[in-house]
Amino acid sequence: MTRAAHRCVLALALGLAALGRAAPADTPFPDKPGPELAAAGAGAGFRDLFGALASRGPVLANFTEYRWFPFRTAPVVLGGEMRFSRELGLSLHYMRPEERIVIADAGGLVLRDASGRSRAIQPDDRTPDIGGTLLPILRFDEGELFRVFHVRGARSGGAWRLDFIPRSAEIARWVGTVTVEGTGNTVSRIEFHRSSAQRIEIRVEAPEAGVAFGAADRSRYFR
Amino acid sequence: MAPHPQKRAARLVLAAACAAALGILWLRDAPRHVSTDVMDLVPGSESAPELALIRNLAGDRQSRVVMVALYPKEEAAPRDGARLARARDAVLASLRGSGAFEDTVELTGGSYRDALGSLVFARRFDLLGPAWLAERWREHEKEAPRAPWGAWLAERTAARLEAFLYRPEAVGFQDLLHADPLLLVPGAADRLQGFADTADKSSPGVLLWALLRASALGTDGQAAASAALGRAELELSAAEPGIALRWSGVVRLAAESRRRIEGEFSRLNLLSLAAVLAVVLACVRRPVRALLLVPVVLFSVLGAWTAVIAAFDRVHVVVFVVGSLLCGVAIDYGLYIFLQAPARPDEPYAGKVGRLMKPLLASSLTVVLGFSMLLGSDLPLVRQVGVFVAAGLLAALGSAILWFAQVDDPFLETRRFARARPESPVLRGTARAVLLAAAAVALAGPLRLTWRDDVRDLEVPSPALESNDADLRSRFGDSGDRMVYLTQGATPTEARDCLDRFLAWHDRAFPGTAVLSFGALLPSPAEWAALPSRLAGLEAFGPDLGAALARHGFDPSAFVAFNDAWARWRDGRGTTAYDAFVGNLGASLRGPVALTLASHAGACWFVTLADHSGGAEPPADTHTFSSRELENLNGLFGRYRMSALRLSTLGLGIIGLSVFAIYGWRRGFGIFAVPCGSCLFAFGLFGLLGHPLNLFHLLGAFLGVCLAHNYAIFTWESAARGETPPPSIRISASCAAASFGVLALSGIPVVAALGSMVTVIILAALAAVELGPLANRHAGLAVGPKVD
Repeated sequence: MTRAAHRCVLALALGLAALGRAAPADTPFPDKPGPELAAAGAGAGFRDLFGALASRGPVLANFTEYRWFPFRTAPVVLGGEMRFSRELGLSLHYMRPEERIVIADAGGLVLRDASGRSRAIQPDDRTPDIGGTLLPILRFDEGELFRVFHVRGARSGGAWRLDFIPRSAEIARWVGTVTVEGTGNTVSRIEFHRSSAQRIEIRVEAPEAGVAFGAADRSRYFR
Repeated sequence: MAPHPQKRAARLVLAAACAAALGILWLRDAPRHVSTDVMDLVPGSESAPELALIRNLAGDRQSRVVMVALYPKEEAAPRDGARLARARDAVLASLRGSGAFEDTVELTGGSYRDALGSLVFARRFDLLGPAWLAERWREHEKEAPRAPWGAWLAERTAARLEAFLYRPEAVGFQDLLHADPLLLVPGAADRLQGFADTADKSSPGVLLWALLRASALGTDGQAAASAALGRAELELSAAEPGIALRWSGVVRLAAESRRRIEGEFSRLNLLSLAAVLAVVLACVRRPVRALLLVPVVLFSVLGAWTAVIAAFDRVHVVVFVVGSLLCGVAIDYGLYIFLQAPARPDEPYAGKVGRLMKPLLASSLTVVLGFSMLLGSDLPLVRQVGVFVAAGLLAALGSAILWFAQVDDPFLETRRFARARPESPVLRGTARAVLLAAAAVALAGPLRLTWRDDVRDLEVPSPALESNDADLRSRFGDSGDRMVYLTQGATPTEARDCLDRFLAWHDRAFPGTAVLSFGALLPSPAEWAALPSRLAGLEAFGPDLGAALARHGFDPSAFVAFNDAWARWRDGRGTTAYDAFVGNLGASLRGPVALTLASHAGACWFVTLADHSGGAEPPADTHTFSSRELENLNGLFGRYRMSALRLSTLGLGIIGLSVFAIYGWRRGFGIFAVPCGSCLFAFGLFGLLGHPLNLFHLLGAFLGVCLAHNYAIFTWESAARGETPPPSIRISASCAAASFGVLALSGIPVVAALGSMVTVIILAALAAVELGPLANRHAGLAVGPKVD
């Protein structure tokens, strides 16, 4: 139960972590994972991308989330807005079909319902710390990324695709492969892929970079 | 030369009594009846339900839990999961192979969480189905009572499942939902999580939980646990030398307590005997002959042991520790006989005994009568002390008379200082001043008395083990700021109904406070009873649900596993009685959650944890009590102290009446004033010193009063014969004071309490019989006999 709750919440949180300006829907992202990047860090071909993604400021964006379940004939669709700050973490404010907030930060995960009641899920050293594991993706923290994941990269013109395969089998069992796609220094799509019938796709829309989160926002949307 | 017939008869009687006593001890297998279990101090028939429950708990699985922590010896070293896993495997294999434990689980690492989840999933229909059906039925009756139950339920189930997929948790449960579209397990996840996450997550290392097979309070269980953990530690050091093992549990604390008490028992008895012998040897002219007193003490102790072992099935070891006081008391009669000079050179032993018989009988029988009053106590300890002392005194008197019949010259001359009675105006003035000061203390001091009974005073403190235990409990998530409630019923049905009432009360009394209760997961008896009628209209639920799922965008073929399980459960479930269901479920639980539910013949209880400390107590109709064990037991001892006080007062009254009946009002008052005054002085002294008293001070006071009573009688008897008080009184009192003074040094607080109280009373009584005549010489103070 706990593991299940961790997994679902973390998967959602992590999926929404990579933010940026939305890419046009017809952008030709590479359709297959590229070769594995050197474990020592991004090569020259990706160093500029990692640097650009890592230096983004706070972001506010809309998102649409598609959840595929093996027993459903069509995905479940949710929508809302996301907020990201390197210091505060990621906050997913689900607005459709019902209101709910999921926060992923260095302290773990927080689930907050529409009435404002929160439940924290603390990471520990026995339950795979999915939140902590995926934070490097949120931040594009190059050193941590290559320590935790096998990273594969592909580029096609201005579009790019990064596949993160957890080095830990336990983490991999929980979240599968994380794929992030984008153009330039914007993230357009994130997918958590366990199987073709079990995946979550998040499409990022209308991002605003360089926003400032005031006290009210911090209180409501972050821990 | 053949012995005198009387001597031979006395020898035969003594030998026969000894043989009988030893035979009884052997036949009763005496060590088996000696207990260090504090619960043996609580009556088995205790009427207060919370105490009866605590007694059950102490004897149940709770006390058999052993906590084991494995962690790197170098705390600064980074966590090495592989090494810890190897260490865990080695220790678990060792513990399981020892045969000492009936259950061993790892609380860290998730295996226990998974096992608990698997159990709940496997039994989800029985465990969670009845409440689910009852809730849906209420919705059906409220929203669409005319709709067919089966079709309505299928549609509602599919709609709930679809709505659930939009929640964050849905992703985590996606592997489960095809087998649980009713959302039984996800609905219980929050309530189960607290049971799965008992261990402190921040604690490094591995935590193992084990349940002993044998009682933690018995020597078998203690030896088995110690051996198993010792072996596990050895095997761990061979497998992973860098990993350390720490363990704790009631079994370890009880074993240490037993060891310390037994050590204390031996030490006190030896010291007490040595102190008594030292006093006697210092006061008599032929010290070697003083050893003739030793058999009397031994006979007395033998008699006391035999009586208490024969009379009680379980005797707390504190009784024997307290019993070492007999060394000081039992020697009284021997001294009185042995130190009395013959009335004439050729006076036969029978004549001497006959002359002394009245004070001997008057003192011993009144004391025995007084202590017999303690047999009316509800508290086993008080009854056992009563029997121990009464039997010991009778044995001491009988053996003293019979033993000295064997001795050719039954007279031991004392040294001059032991008989000296100096007199001077200065001494008289000093004596009066001392007595007046004592009287002031006796009158004013008792008003400042305070009482405090603490069951922890029964044990020898063991700070290192207690600190280790507290640390491990903290690692295992045993938070002291949580309330633990125990809900009891004669049957599971009754207990579960009480639990509902309690939880409803708790919601009102502590709104918003989280509670953790495995019992609350169980269906209520009413839901269980209604299950057949709820299932009656669900013959076609499988197909109905398939159709509803398809309407809501699901693939019905993915739910085959559920359909099969549902059909098996619905068709296969018999008419299991609720009580049998709960009993069976309780037996299948493992690990800490197993401690939250117990079902025995005639008693069932549920444990509820609440995130608050203190607060109002649940109402009586909930049959629920907060497990403030210490407070409850301390209250118990406070209550029994009052009972002992009443009985002691009654015993004292009987002693007084006996004295008045034997000696008349005037002499009786003089005799009775000594023990009463000494006792009041002791109470006054403790009151003025601000030292709180407890049940054991009270028992000590009663014993001290009886001893003081002896000295008063012997003194008055001598005065009545126109003799100076015999030296046996001051030697006897010194012996008793030395003996009890040793007890006052005990590491067991209650034994020290008893020893200090008796010592003060004896010294006060000795001062009264010594200083009274001296001060009375001209002033006529009626605190002692007038000696011409």
